[in-house]
Amino acid sequence: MTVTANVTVGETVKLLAEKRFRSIPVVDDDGKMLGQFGVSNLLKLAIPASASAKGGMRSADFMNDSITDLQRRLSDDWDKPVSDYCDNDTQTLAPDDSLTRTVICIAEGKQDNIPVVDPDSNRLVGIISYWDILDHLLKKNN
Amino acid sequence: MFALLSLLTQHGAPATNSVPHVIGGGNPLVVAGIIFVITYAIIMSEKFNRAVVALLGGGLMILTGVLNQHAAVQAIDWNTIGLLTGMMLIVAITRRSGVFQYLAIWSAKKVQAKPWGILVMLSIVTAVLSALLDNVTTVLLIAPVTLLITEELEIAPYPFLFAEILFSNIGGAATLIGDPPNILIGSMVESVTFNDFLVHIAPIVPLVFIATMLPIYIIWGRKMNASDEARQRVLNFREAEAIKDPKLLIKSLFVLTLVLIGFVVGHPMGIEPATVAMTGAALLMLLDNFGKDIEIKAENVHHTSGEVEWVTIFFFVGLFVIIGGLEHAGALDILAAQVVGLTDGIADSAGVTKVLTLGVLWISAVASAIVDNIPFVATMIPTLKAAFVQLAENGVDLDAAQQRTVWWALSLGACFGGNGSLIGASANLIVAGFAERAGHPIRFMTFVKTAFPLMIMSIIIASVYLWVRYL
Repeated sequence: MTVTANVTVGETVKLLAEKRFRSIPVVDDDGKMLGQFGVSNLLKLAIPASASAKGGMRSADFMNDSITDLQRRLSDDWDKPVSDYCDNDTQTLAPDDSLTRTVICIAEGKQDNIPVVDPDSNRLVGIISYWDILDHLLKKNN
Repeated sequence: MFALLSLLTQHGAPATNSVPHVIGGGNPLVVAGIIFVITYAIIMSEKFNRAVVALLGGGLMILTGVLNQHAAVQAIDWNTIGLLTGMMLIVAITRRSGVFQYLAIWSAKKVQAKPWGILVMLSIVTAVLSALLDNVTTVLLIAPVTLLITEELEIAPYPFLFAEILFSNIGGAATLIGDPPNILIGSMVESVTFNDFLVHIAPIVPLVFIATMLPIYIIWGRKMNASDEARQRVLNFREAEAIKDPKLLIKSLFVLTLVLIGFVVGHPMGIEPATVAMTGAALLMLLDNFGKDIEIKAENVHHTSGEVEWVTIFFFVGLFVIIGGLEHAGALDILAAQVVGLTDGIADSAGVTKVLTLGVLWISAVASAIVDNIPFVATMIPTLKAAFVQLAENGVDLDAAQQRTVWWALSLGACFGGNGSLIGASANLIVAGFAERAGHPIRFMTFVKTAFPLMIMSIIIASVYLWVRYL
C-alpha cells in the first residue's frame, strides 16, 4: 500500500491509524519512490521545530504541553501534501539484493518495513516487512 | 602544564632564527607565500573543512623545509589552545545542568512574554554570555530556545535570531575570553591582560548595544505583536524544570566564578588564562565525577573531552604553524613594511598611532565582514608587532599605551566587523545553519542589507571612542 505525493498529511495519518502501519511509502504519479511517511514524522510535526531540528533542544521538560497544544501544531500541516514531510533518505532494497542484506537491514531496527525499488527506474516494486521474514522463518521451522 | 610547554618551547628547542633550508633550494619567502595564499584561499572558499586545510598548510610549511619541527611547535600559541580547550570543557559540563535554557525562559517571562521585551532580554543574555563564553557556544545554546519561544508566540523568529547574531559578536568583544580575535590578542600580545580588556574595551560595548538596538526597534520592534493566548503559552513554561542537575549547576557556577577570578588576578602572578581555564576544567571534571563509580567516571571524562570542538583547536594549530612559517621566511616583515608605509611622512609617535589605530580598525572591520576574522587577526598580530619594531628602528617609538591602542583597534574592528555579513563570524553561520534546519532560513543578502550598515555604525562609534579616549 502506498500514498501519492499530493495526498494530505491528514489523510495519510488516518490511513496509518486505520491500517495500524508504522509507516507508508510515498510515490509520485508514475509510481516512483519519493520517501516514507510514518508515525515519527507525524510526531515531529506535533512538537516545536526548535526541538525536532538537528542541533535543537535536547529536552523541553519546562514546556507544559497538553494534547490541544500538540493538535494545534499539527493542524498547521494537516492539509499540506505528505510529500513535503516524508523522509527521503529511507533505506531501500533492490529486487536482486540478497536475503542476508535484507535481514541485516531489518535487524538494524531503523525501519520495520523496507521498500523494494527498481534501481534503474526508481519505481517501487514492493515492500518487505519483518512479518514477511518472520512468516518465512516459521514456515521453515514447521 | 602550559607554563611547562611554554618553557620547553622557549628554552628547550633549538634556535629557530636559523635560515630556512627549503627542499630543492627554493626561496623560502616564495614557498611560504605560496603555501599561505593557497591555504587561505581554500579556507575562504569554504570548499573544504578549514581545520583540514590549515593542518595541511602547516604540514607543508614543515615538509618543504620553511620551518623545522621545533620551530613549528614553538610557533603554536599554547596559551590560545589551552584557553579555548579549557573553556570548551567547562561549558560542555555546565550546559548539562540546563542553566542556559533556564536563563532564556526566565528572562522571557520577566517581561510578561511581550515580543519586544523578549528580544531585548534575549539580546542582553546573549551579549553577557558571549562575553563570558565563546560566541559559538552561546548561540548554540540560545538560538534553539529563542526559536521555541517565537514558535509559541506565533511570530517571525528572524528579528530575534538577527539580534542574537549581532549581540553575540558585540558582547564577545567585551572580554579577553569572549571572542576568538580577543583570545588571540590576549594570548599572543604579552602586554595585554584580561583586566585591560575590561577597562579599555568593555565600556564601549553597552554604547554599541544601545545604538544597535534602536534601529532594530524601528525596523521590527515597534510592529511586534503576539496574542494573549500565545503569550500565556510562554508564561506557562516552568523554567525550574529546565534545570536538569541542581548539584552540577552549583559546582559549575562555583568553578566558573573561580575561573573568572583567576583571569582577573592571575596575570600579575604570572598565571596566564590557559592555565586558569585548564585547571578550572580539570577541577570541574573532578567535582562532576566525585563519588561516582570508576567506570562511570572514565566514561564521563571521555564523553566530556569528546565535546571539545577539536576541529576548531586543530584549525588554530594549523594556522599558527602557517603563520610561523610566514614569519620565519620573513614575509611578515614585508607585510609590516606595508603597514609602516601607511604612516609615511609622519614623524611623531602620536600621529603614527592615530593613523595606525584608525587604519587597523577600518581595515579589520571590512576584512572581517568578508573573510573569517580568526586567520585575519592571527596574521595581523605578528605583522603589527613587526611594524612596531620597524617604526622604532625608524625613530618613531610607540610606547606601551600607544601600542595597546592599536591592539584595541584590531580587537574592535575584528569583533564588530564579524557582524558585516553572514560569513563574518562563526556564530553567524551557526545560527543560520540551525535556522535553516528548523525551517526558517536566513538569506545572505537580506542579512547583509541590515547588518552591514549596523556594523559600519558600530565602527563609527568605535572610531569616536578610540579618538576621544586615546588619540
